[in-house]
Amino acid sequence: MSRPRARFALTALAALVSLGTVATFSSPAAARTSFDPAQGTLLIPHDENLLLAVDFETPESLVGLARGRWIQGADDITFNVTPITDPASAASLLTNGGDDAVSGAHAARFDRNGGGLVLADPALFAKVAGARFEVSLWMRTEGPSPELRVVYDRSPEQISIQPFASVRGVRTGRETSDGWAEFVVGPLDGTVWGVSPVAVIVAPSAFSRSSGEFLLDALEVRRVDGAETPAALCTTQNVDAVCGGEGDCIFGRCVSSTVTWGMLPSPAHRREIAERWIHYATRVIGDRKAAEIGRSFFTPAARTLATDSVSSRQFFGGLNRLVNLLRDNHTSFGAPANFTSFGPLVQGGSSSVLGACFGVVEKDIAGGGIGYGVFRATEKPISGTPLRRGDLLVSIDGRDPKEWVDEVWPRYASALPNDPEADWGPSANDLSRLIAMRAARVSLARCASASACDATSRTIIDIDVASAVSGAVTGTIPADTSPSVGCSQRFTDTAEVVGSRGQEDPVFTATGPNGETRVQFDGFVGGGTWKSKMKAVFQDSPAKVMMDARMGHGGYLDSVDYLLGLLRGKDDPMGVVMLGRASYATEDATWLFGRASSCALGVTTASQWICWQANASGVFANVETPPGVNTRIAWLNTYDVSANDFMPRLLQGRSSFHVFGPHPTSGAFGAVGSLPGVWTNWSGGSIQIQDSRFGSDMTEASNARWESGHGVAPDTVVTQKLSDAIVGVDTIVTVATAWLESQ
Amino acid sequence: MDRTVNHTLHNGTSSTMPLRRRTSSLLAMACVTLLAACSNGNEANDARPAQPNGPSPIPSATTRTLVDRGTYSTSPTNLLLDPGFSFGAGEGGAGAFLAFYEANFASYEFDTTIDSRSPAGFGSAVANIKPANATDTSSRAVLMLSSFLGGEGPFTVRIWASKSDAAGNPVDLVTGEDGITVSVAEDDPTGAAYELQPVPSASRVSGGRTWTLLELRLPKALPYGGFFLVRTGRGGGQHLVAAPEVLADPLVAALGTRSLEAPNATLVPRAVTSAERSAIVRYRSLPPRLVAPRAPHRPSKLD
Repeated sequence: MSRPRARFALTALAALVSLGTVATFSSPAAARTSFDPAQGTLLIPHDENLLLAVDFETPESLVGLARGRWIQGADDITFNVTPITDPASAASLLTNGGDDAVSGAHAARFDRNGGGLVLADPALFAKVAGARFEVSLWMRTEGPSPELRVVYDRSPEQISIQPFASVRGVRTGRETSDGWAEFVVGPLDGTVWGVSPVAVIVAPSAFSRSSGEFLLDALEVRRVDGAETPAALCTTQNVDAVCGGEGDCIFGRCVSSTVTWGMLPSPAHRREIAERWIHYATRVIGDRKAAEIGRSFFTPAARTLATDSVSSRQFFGGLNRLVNLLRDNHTSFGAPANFTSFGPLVQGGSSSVLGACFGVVEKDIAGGGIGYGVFRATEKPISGTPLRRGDLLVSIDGRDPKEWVDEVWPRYASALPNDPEADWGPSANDLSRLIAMRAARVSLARCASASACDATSRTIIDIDVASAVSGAVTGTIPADTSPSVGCSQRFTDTAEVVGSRGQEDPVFTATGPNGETRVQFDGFVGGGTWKSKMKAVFQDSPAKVMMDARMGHGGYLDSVDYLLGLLRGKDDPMGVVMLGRASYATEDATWLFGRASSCALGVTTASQWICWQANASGVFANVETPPGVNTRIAWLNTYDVSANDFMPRLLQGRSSFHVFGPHPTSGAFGAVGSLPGVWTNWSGGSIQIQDSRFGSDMTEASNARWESGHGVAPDTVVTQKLSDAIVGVDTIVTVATAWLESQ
Repeated sequence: MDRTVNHTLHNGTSSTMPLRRRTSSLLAMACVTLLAACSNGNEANDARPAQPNGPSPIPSATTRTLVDRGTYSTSPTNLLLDPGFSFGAGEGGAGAFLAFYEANFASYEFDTTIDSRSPAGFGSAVANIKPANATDTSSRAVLMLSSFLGGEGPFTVRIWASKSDAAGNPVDLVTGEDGITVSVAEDDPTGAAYELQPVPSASRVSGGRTWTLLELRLPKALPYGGFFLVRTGRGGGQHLVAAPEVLADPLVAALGTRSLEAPNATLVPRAVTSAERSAIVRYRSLPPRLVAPRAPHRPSKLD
């Protein structure tokens, strides 16, 4: 693999077109290209802000630029660059005019093999240090979806798919009737935390499979009014005051919102995006409580965001928060395809910079109440301050940890539990990563012993998270730093975890100290292997089983039905009717339940159309004598959603079934559907398309409430005790084990 | 004003269809003439005519104009959830477009591409239905479909279509049994289907390819929802479709940016075919997913 050259001669300025503005198209940014309606071509205004223009009229205009493509290597995807040093080598890139150019007589053409174009001129980027700039160009595509991106990195030698920072260009809405569209990236800061741009790349996505050609024309780099966002110390609470409306606060310092949330759409595009999500949140969503929130809260708030936002942080961050506040765990806004450290959302709980994973704890020896305590810790974290199991989080940026979480987490989570009482477990899992991204300082208490942790018998540990994390982001991480670990709300495993997860959720089993069977599983993504393991657990009708589902991420209704068939018989009836919306205008209609509820009993030839149109499904206990019907079951919950809502809800009321956990499950009772990406370079979100009613029969179910928003409450509320954590005892397992032995 | 004309398609074949044309608004005509050049405020779709039942002639690409396009290729209130065909065949589920070979209902995975010259522009992908082993004159019939939520309506249903030969070169679009048929089916197997009809005045030529707008005004309620069905016949070649749209007038009106007129269309219902019924059966047989969403994530050095 060849490596890119560090420097390129900039000669393209010499190729600026001769300009004469005929008509100026109104644009919110500085004067970019204007359109001459008589000629049907673009003109590049030549003013003092123009730093570079490439009109692609001659092969010489490309000298100083480079060609390149994304290459998949063993460890990384990098951009392979070949400088254009000879006009002859660029001649074949130029089109022959007509419709194949939008400025002048020629444009540049790239096919799948040709990759794309790169501008990597340190001298040019040096001109915008401390200032702001934008890059614009016009593209037409006949197959691939080319991306415009500006890449910031410390080393220009190798451009990675995961650079220090990267901002992707978007369409402005200015297009021509024959398929040319203006793309712009900016205003951008000339440097991001002292790191300069190393390249402007125009090429198909590294993940694109499309063949065909794309054309580009009228490339401009312009200085834009305004100064760089200063890397001032900030918090999420003071971001507007300290960083300004256009800034974001991440890793304890201000940064342009463009490097976190991406480009701010135009006002017209913002209105479209907001209206599409209003459509989803009020006319598509199946969750009845969420739909009401959609009408009463989401709709006006989203329209206000579209009107008033001055940055992508305010608009996209605001919309992400609004979607989360619909309070449907299946409904998510999606995320920008930002593969840098500046990705704005908390995705995947890890020990991160603190080198610690948090769990929900009862502060039994520290004043009482619920809090966040360390469940796992690494020896040498990036923060430089090793934590221990049992350390108690006492403040984040000077505030009560849960208060801070309640304010900050909805902004950056991928989705929130339906039932706010269920926030503790999921937020604990996200917390270390969330702190690393969005807090400046934290304080933890280390108890003197498992029996002494009042104010006089604890050590306070203050950690300057912002300094640690910004150092890690901008510099290097010491080689002896402990690797990060994934977080879990299991204080301890109840069965030995072996092997890696495959296509199905693994099911691990062990025998407990009192002879009980212990089953550790995360969810219901279950096929043949999952089912056979569950069957093996119950086929001999064991007396006592502990089902450890404390990290229950959901799965398939088919698997829920299968386990129900092992554990609850038809003589102890229970079932669920799952229904979609009645129409785009209303979730419910008088005909809905009567017309479609029977679908929960099975789809027949006669009913199949009705079932499908009403999005109706469900399950009812229908096995005469399940093998595990008499098994005493202790069911352990903490971070549970979706199929992990359904299963304990369907088993509730069964004799010898008892749920243990610190709080309810999420309460997401319905199937989930995918949504397309909300905007350029965004991954799609998701939406719950049903809601559910439970009952022992249809009559009872018809009179039941819609269940989404109501998590399954534990029969025994039990939380990991801080005192137990300090000595390594799993409180929930201990209490559940005792219950299994109690009768 | 509604009238029926004998419409000659590009390939010289003829069909009889209702043609709806509104002639009262010169302003609307002017805007439509410029396609999307007339900004329509909150409306997203520059590809479609500015009024649901009044398409007017659109110039070919020889007269390049500057237009102000939305970010999406269809309205934000589109009842179809995936008008950009972004869900892969494996995604399935609510709102996804799925496709089957009509003869045996084997799953068919269509290609998608971004062609900014198409009516979808950069806003969404174009779906390319190219049955395996298709020749210029022979192909296996494919049924592609999605479902949508119903309501009181009335509805306007649209899609843009174009055709290529087996090698991908543009050829004239053929509608009907051997060509393309786009329909909306009611919720009931004994209910009716309604076919979209070409709007010849709205044809669009770009890059040597003619795109034909197919449209249906449905002045009736679909209380239990409906299916949007695209069938490509046995006449060979491959079909491109873009920017499918099912709009309910009240939702469009709520955006406050588009004038609406009471529908006055002549509906010609037909029975749902057995093939359509079978495709719908398979479409809805996908198991419900009960998994909390997780966005794509590449671990960074802070993970």
